[in-house]
Amino acid sequence: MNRCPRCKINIYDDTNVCPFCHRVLDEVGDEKEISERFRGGASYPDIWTKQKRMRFALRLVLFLFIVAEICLVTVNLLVTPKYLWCILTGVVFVYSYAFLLYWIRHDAGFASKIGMQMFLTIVILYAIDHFSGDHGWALQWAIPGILLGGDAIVFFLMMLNRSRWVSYTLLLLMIGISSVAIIALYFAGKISNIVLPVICVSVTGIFILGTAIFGSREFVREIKRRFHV
Amino acid sequence: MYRGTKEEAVLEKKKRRSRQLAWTKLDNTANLFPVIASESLTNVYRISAVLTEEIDPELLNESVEFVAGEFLNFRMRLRKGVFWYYFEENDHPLPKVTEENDFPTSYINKNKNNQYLFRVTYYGRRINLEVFHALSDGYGGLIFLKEIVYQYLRKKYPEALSGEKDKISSGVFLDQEDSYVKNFRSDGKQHKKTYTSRRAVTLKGEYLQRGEVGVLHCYMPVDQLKKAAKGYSVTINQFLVGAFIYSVYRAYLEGKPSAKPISCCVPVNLRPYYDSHTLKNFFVMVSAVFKPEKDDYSFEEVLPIVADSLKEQTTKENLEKILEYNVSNERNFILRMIPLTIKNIAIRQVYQASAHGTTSTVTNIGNVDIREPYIPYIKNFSAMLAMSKGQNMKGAISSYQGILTITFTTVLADPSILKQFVQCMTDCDIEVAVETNGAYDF
Repeated sequence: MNRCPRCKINIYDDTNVCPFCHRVLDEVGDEKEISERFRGGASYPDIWTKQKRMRFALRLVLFLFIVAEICLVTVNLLVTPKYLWCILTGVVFVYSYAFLLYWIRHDAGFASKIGMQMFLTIVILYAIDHFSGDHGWALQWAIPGILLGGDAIVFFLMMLNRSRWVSYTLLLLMIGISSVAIIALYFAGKISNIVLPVICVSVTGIFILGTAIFGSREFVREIKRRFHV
Repeated sequence: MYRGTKEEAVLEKKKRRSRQLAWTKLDNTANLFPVIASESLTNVYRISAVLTEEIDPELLNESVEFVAGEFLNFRMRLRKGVFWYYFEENDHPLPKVTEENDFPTSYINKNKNNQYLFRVTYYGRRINLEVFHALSDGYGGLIFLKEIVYQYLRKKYPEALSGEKDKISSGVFLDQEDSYVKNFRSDGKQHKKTYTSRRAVTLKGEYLQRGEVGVLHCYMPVDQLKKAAKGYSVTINQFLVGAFIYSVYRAYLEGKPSAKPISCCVPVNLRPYYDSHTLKNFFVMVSAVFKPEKDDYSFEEVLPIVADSLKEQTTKENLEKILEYNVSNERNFILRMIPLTIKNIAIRQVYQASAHGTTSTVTNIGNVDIREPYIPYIKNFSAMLAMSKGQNMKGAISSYQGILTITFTTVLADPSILKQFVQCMTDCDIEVAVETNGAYDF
């Protein structure tokens, strides 16, 4: 323990310089007595030297993505300047990086992360379809396919994590609502082919029904909790 | 919760499957924290106990498991509903107690923490309890930490403490009621908003590295503080808040007038006012405000202004008003029916608007009362707060065995406000010893 006569304070830190006035400190004569009297003296670990590997890895990925996109833009402009496919690759890079950040940094549960990921994928697929001529493949094939994939993931997670299967119920219900919404788009005349949406809504419906019947009281409890107002 | 062998764990798992997990709504204040929490604004507070000997991690781990088993309030995980967040009993195993390896009050990543919203770490002779504020306030956190320390000491010194039983102290309330809702009395009137959206001074400057937090503990004898505060006819709390505001005025505003006031939030524990013993949050914020309108105010001029500002607000009537306003929004049926995603956007907006109305926060967890047989083994207690939006420096006060500790946490690289605060104390003939986490060491 040292003392700064200028600031008139005793300092517990293992330092020879006052943190406030930067004067070289004096030694304290009755160190033990003073140290005991103020009840301080519990040092802190040296966090500064801790390796920030994750931060470096993320920066490396970002750097590589940017370099790759610059290369692709150059190739695109030199080879096929009339068709700007580099915008698509740019979107894919941005999406991939956002995906990576979200999974690493966001500490929501699996169900929330999968739900958010599905939502973003649906939005991006729809946007790509819309801006590349509105052929309708996103709503008729790609998005129902994503939803069916979501059913499969939820089923897999429920089996894998059986003691907490009920926590995936809300995600399943969201997939159900999205499936019905696509069918509604058919009746609104937005899509013409309904094969995959019907398969999607049937599979999801059966899944929800099975969960409600076999899950019984636990299913009801989960719904009550999730929907409490 | 798994506490024994593998076979016991399997049995426990089977039992768990057949029983219903407890769940509870978040209290009124807690609703805010999940929405605004991020890696930089963690909404985590820390309470530490410094013992007289090095910590034994195994014994500490056993103690945490034992005590957490009794405190359902801390054994919760946060879940997202369609309209509100809610807590559900967490049946994952407790994460192991680890040596401190990050800055104080750093983000509690739920996925890396088995979904628990608190963590216990140790370093040297210190035990740290860090709690996500949605779970409990300083009152609840302190009770929980005290029981962990008691249990640890019983294990560490079984002979010396042979008269002490391995159980939670009698007299401790494990109450989990939502005291906001319980004590809300609706008079049917429209409640005036109690937070301010008027901008206050924001402490800015060069920052420490991202994620880094500077810590300064100031240790001062309570009797000397009492004498100094009495000299100004104010309480110790008012004295310290006044000194802090004066330090901001002197060191940051350089003693010049300012169009914006210095506004320091002070949390008020509502339990004594409503005879509550809940472990959940039960506090409201009042603000000590000082607007410098001329040059060179002296400490003698600033202190009464701050003290009066606090006194005016810390009345039962005013606290009731704040509570009523806060709860009335939550009770509004139309607001309740809004999906959580939209509510979160609105909550974030209100928070952003009100955040710039505060310069800092100084909290006081009070005098830590320890049971007689354990006193010789405990050296000190301290508390610290994480940064909030627009608040780059905060203070937390605790006292134990005649020594008051005020711990400042900050992300500012310049310690001149802290220097000014210490100078203010020494000018009042108060002896000060300081300790930092190395952020300001040469």
